[in-house]
This record gives sequence, structure tokens and C-alpha cells, in this order.
Amino acid sequence: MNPFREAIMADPWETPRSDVPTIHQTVFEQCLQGLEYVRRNKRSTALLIHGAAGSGKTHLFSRLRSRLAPTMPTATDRSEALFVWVRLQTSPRMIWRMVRRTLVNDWFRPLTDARSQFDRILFHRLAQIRVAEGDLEPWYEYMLQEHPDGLRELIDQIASNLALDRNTHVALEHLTFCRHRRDLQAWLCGDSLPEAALARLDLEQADEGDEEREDQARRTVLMLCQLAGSELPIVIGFDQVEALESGSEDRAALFAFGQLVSTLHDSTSNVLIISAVQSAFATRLLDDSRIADRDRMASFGNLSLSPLEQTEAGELIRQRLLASEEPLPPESQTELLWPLSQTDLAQLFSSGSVTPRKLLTRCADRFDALLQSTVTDQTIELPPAKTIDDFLEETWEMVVEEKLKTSHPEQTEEILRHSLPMAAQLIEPDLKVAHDDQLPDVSLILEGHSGRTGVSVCTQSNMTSLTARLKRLKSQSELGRLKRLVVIRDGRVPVSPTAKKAKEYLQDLQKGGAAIVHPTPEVLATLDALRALLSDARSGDLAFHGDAVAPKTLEEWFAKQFSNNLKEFVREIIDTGSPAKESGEDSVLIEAINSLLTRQPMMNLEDAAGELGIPTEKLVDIARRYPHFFGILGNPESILFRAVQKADHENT
Amino acid sequence: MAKSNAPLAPMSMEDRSHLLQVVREAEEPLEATKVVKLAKTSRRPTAEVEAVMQEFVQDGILIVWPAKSAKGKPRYWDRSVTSVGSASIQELVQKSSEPVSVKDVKKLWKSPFKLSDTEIASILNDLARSGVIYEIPAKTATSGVRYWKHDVEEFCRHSLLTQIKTQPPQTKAKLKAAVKWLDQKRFDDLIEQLTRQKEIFLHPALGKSKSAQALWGHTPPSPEPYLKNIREQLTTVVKQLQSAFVLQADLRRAAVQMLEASGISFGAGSSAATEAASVRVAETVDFVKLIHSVEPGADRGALVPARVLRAAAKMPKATFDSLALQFAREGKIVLHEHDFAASLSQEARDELVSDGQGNFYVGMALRARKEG
Repeated sequence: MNPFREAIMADPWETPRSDVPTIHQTVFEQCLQGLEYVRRNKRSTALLIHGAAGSGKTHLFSRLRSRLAPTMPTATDRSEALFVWVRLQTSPRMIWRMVRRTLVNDWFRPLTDARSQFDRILFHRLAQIRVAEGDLEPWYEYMLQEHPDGLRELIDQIASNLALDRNTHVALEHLTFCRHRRDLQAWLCGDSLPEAALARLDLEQADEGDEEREDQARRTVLMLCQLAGSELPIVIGFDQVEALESGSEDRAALFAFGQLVSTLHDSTSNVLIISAVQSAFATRLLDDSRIADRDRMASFGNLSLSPLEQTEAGELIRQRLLASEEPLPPESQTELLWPLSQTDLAQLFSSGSVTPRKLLTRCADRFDALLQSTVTDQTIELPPAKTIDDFLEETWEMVVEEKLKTSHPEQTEEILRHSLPMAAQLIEPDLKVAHDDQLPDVSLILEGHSGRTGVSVCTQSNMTSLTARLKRLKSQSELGRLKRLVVIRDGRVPVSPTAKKAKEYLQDLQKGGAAIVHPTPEVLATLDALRALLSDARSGDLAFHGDAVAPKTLEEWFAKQFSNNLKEFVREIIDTGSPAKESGEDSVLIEAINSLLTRQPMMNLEDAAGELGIPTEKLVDIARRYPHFFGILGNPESILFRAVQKADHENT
Repeated sequence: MAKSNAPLAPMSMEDRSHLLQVVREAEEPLEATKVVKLAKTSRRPTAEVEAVMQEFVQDGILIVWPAKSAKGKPRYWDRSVTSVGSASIQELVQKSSEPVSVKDVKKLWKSPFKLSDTEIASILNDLARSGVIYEIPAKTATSGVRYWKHDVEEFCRHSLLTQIKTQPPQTKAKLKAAVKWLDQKRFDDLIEQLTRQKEIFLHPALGKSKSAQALWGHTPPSPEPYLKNIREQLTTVVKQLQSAFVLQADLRRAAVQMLEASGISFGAGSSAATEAASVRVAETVDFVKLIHSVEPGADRGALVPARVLRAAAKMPKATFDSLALQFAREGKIVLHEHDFAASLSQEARDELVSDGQGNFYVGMALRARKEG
């Protein structure tokens, strides 16, 4: 295996193939000093780190995450810290929701001995009021098993000291007693939970509009930071900030990011905020952000990730060779900077230094070429060199497949709000994203020549929340501020049979001219892949032969590949004049059949028709017209079943 | 031999296609007589070829171009005046370092076909309306409107800066003469803006005479002429005090106190702005010192955009870029590459450092070194 091939680090939670501590050492030490400043002064601060694409921003986060990772059980006398890494692939209007979800998921991630960062917070909080000698974990285990009432009293005391609201108090108690972890994680992430799950958790979920949910996310993040306390400072790393922007004129993205950093900076006392951006974006961030936000973004420093000098490059190559498990040619041991040639060095160091990504890519290419030439006399038919189109096609297929596997209804709103403007602008470049304060439940407004289309993503699992949202949406649709309203439903979260009011509101909306659309999981996965790759491209993290692929190149390639399904879906939303593909009656039936099959995934066709109160022929007809949702088995047709994606099925 | 009067056979379809091919391959619109000359078919009368050309025009295959002169004949081509002329004129205006009038366009015109004044004026007007180029007022009442790649505001700025950089410090009235077509209010605003941005510098009126006037120059004024009278007075007073046996140390202390009270600092901590202004640029410049002067966080590796440093260096782009690359190769500074420079506008790209080989750098920083 080529030891130089992995030149991009996509996630700092991964362990890198090798690390050269002397590379970016001063910047890394500044991060540690920033953390020490937070711990000592009990004040939050921020670092802005910038570098060219491929300079090692995510690698730096990985080194920091690795340094902060616990190597020993939690104890009060050790300087511990928490780590959160947020890749800002979202819409600026959902930025706090993205931070909330990532923070909660990172803190639930199992670390050493299956303990999570949330567990560490708990141990530290307990130790503050009940001094324990030595490691906290055995003490906690003992309390959990032998003195659960005593433990509950301690939790009550923590809640009282921190003035936690009832919901947070209950959540902390569940955390302490390891109850309903999956639902608790979803609740803390802000996901819509069914009534039964909320009842089990004994928690509430407010039925609120978009801005309130964003505000709720902000309050939750600040409350969780407060819960961690000054003993456990938190590093929050923001990566791919560029992905927030929909274009170079997008001031909303810069404003939202500036506000996020300023709020975290001023409203917490234990956070080190590290924003890592490309150098070109850093100059825009500093030029175009509000002065107050800019000052806070770099309150502890504004640092560069310098490209590598020859000595650093030599060390990186050496470490990669050392980490290789394959036998290597003897020259690799004797020649400095092997496998690079003098010409490579002259080209790579033409401006004095080179980014790690460019260096590793050149080494990888040179390694392959040298390996080929050492194969004896045999003539080897080399495959034709890969083109950028081949690369994008391969990457695209891989990402779509991965997105299909991990697709989840909770992500539907974020996927659509972030990716729909990108996809729609590829079809109609003049489309703009608009905002209307009087339509708080319309998730996205696209404004074009033919008028404004509003898209409301109504995919709540909780029927009370869904009903409340549809009710508000109905009254907002009557204001006449949109040319067309599209209500997006997710077939995987059907309206339950008992949610009669929700059904009524949906029908009323349709009668009022709204289109109800059920995107297929494939369409959602494609949109998710599009936003992921475009975000990577905007942040310089999509590279071909060591060079970053420009967003424009990706957009042009994607415009040629646009699948019919996706194009049809996007057109159905943006074409204000076109009739909805799904008729009103179809939408109602899709919801009803989905609801039925959620309870019983496979049913006798006649029984199903009977329960739905429609003729069997009609049921067969609709199942045939929507094969991505339903299937029919038997000859003659006798069994109706719910279509499940292969990947989705594997997950369940 | 007697000339044959036998009628010619009607023109074949092949001949017609050949005529069309001749026109299509031509580098400029052709008169029918020219088409006849260039055609390799059997010789046809010009009138007949003219008729065929007219048919092509009616069918929308060819476009008729106006005659070159009053006595000339109409010409034929498969491209329209607007489409061909528009692209060439747009390129010409975009490349011009100064605004151009219709007459200028005509002078600079290098395409094989010619356009009339009316056609050029109409194309320029259309391009300006579509926002591709900008209209600039005429120099005088009799000369025509001009067009440029930048708008009026940018042109005023450009004109004033050129005037100031190429001449010694001048009065406001003289500067106004360089942009006489600009109204007084906008002129005053522009002067104020350029002064605020430190692109030009006010030289206060020297002396108290009525003829003394404030001037504007491209560098701050030299202090010596302003301090001349004070120095003479001080010399007299110092001589008197020395003859009264005042100690040298006391004189020095009093002089420093007096100067500090007047706002002249002798401390080491002078402001970044003063330092930046004091950097004198000759053939070369110390980039490291310059970076320090514009970015207080330079030692920790803060990035300085190329645009900011170039403004502080006050050097031509080519010299600046070449020096930046030289400093980077020597390891004194680090250049940060822009990955998508191709997607930027020409103007934005011009702000970056270019190595002439397709690589562009957004800014530079000092290499952060580990202490000790």
C-alpha cells in the first residue's frame, strides 16, 4: 500500500496515519495556551487559524483532540478538557441547531472504557459537592449500585446550584442513572420525539416556530457549557466555515458566524473557540464581519498555518515511511526526501514552501511510478490516467452510498434547507434565498422571476408538534405572501392514525393550493451528497492530484450529472406554474398507507384496502405509481409491503 | 474571337453553396463584386450574385452590412455588426487604461472590417446599458462621451491619483481642473475620502501670507519647512540661555519636555500607523519590517492580505510581486496560496500576488518560530 496516499484528514476523531509534532508546533502550543488561559481566568477566548487548502487545519484539530483525550480515569486533580468539532455544513439560519446537535453527539461519543464526555462532566460535578478520594469512577459505580437515593440527592443539589430548569434537571438525572440514553441524546439534539418517548423520558418539547427553535438551540448550548463548569474547559473547533456561504456575496453567513462566535465568547466562561478557515476566506472574514465579531473571533490570536519548509517536509516523508507496514526499497532508507526527484523539489518549493497535501500527493504519485519501474522486464499496461470527471464520479458514488446508509428523517430539514438553494440555483441561476418575518414556519423561500416559492419542511415525529406547525402554516399561507407553498413530508415519518387534526390541516393546505411533496430517500441522499461535496470544495477539502477542486468545477460537473429524479423533485418545488406531481388525493393516501405499514410492514392487499377504505384496484394503482415507497408481491397481487432502502434496512 | 452572347445556364445549387461558403469564410463582410472575384465557380455576373446574396439575406442566412462609403455597395456576411463589433469593442474598452470615445475606438480598431461612427456609438451605448462597461462624461463640451471598464467614481479617483502622483503637491483648484467635468460637491467628497484613506495627503498652508494655500501631495508633507521659523527662534533663545550659564542637561530636559508636550514622542512605542507612514519605499522594501508595521500580531503568524501590504509598500504590482516571491524563497515570509483564483474577477485577481505561472497568493505571514 502506498504510504503517502491518505493526504486528506476528513474528521479529527480519526487517528492520523502519522503525526509530526514539530509541524505547526507553535500554533498547536498557542491552542494549549488558549485553553490554559480559559482555565486560569475563567473567561472564554478565541483563536482564528488560517491556512491554504491542504495546510493541515483538520489535522491540527485531530492532534488537539488526541492531546485532550483522557488517558486515565476522571479525577478532580487532573487538568481535563472537553472537545467538540463542528463542521459547519448547514444553513446560516440553522447554525445554532448544528452546534447543538454536534456538541451533544460529540459528548455522547464513547471514549475510554465506554465513558463519554457527558460522563466526565457528571463525575466532575459530583466531585464538587461530595469530595471523593482518588478516581471518581469506582466511587460513582458504588453510589449507583449501593446508594441510588444518595446519588439522586446529589443531582438535586447540582440542579439547584446551577439553577437548572426542570427539563435539564430531569435530563441530568437520566444521564446519571444511564436511562433512555438513545432518546435522551435525541432530545438533547433537539430532534422531534414521539409522545410515547417524551412520556417515557418525562420531558417536554415545545411546539415552536423556526426562530424559537434556533433560540432554544442557542440556550441549550450555553446551558450545556455552563453544566461543564470551569473545571472542564471546552474546546469548540469550527471547521469548514466557508460551507455556510451560498456565494461570495453571502453576508448572512458571515453575520451568522460572527454572532455565533460573539455569543459563545461573551455568554460562557469556559470555552476556547477555534475557527479554522482558508486564508482567502480569512481575509474576507476580517474585512466583511462586524468589527465587534471580528475582534472576538481572534481575541486570543490570529494565526497562520505555514506551508512546510524542506526540513519539515523531510520529516513528514520520513514519518510516513516509518509508519508503512510494507517492505520498501533500500533507497528509502538512504536518500533524503525519497521518493522525490530534484525536479519535484524545484517545482514544489518554487515559492519557498509547500502544503502537506501537495507534498504527500506528489510523493504518492512518485512512489507509484517508482514501484512500476522496478517491476522486471514485463511490460505493464498502465490504466489511462484518471481525469477530474472520473475522480468526481467515483467520489460522488461513494458519498451518495454513504449518505443513503446514514440517512435519517431528523436530518431531512437540514439537508433540504442547506442543499435545496444549491440545487435550485443550478437549474435557475437567478434564484435567490429570501426571508420573510411574517412566515416563520416557512423553512426556505426561493425567489425567482416567476415569484416566491415557500418550502416548509414538516417532518416532525411528534404529532402534537406537527399539528401545531401545520396549523400555523395554514394561517401563514392565507397571508398571500407566496406564489406557491410546498409542504415537504418524509415518508418515513407518517402521520399517525390518531393525528386527525394534522390530517385535516394537511388537507386544508392542499385545498388552499399548497403542494405536498414526499421526497424519496434517494433524492434526500443525493441532496445530502451534493451539499457535503460542495461544502468540501468551498473549504478546499476536495482535492484531485493535490489541488483543491473549485466549487465551480464541481457545480458544472454536477449540472451535467443531474439525475432525473432529483431534477424532477427540484422542478416540482421551484416551478411555480407547474401542477404538483402528487395529487391531493395521492398525498393523503401515501400518508395513510405509510402509517398503516409502519405498524405492520407487510399486509394482505385486500386487508390493507379494507382498512384504508378504498378499492383494492386503487391501492394497487398507487403502489405501482410510487414504487420507491411501496411494493406488491404475488401473482395475482396479494401482498403489500413498505419499500425499505437496503442501507436503511441494514441500519434497522 | 467574337464575344459569345449565348445566355448563361441558370446558377446551380452547387454554385450557390459555394458562394455562401466564400462569404462565410471571409474575414470581413464582402461586396457582391468581391464575392464574384473570390468564387472559384464559373464566372457569374455581379448582378446575379447580388440577387443570390439578397435571397440569402431574405432567408436569414446572411446579414446585409452597410456600404463602406457613400458610393460603396452593400456588403454581406453571416455575422451581424452588433455581435462581431460588440465583442471586439468590449475587449478594446476593457483593455484600455483610459476611457475611450467613439473616435478613440475607431483609431484603436484593428479588426479586418470597419464600423461606422454610428455603429460604434450604438454598440458602446448598448454595452454601457447592459453594465459591461461604464459611461464617462466627455472631457469638453465638444468632445464625445467616453467609456471605460470602471465607473465614473473609479475614474475620478484614477484621474486624481494620476495627477497627484505625476506632479508636485498642488492646490485644490488645480486638481479640480484635472476633472473639470465632475461637479464640485462630488469632487470635495472624493478629496476627503482619498485623504481619509491616506491615498493623498494634505500639506497645510505654509506661512501666514494671503497667497499661502493648502496643497495635496502623494506623500505626507516634509516637516522641515514648517519648523523653520521655530528653529530660528529656538536657536536665539538657546544662545541667550547658554550665555546665562544654563546647564546643557537642563536645556536638553526642557527641550524634550517641550517637544513631547507638543505631541512629538521620543518613546519606543510609536504607533503602527506612524511607522507604516515612515516606511520609505525606494527600489526595494523590507517586507518583514513592513508586515510588522501593518499587523501587530505578525510575530504570531497573522496573515496580511497582499492588497494591504502593497498599499503600504506603495510599489508597482510587478515589483511588489517579484519581491514577495523573493522573500518567500529566502524563507523570510510565507505566502498563502489562493486555490480558486480562476473563479475571481480580474480586478480581485490583480490584488493577489502572482508568480506568473498560474499561482496566486492571497497574502503573506511571518513564519512562526518556536521560541528558544
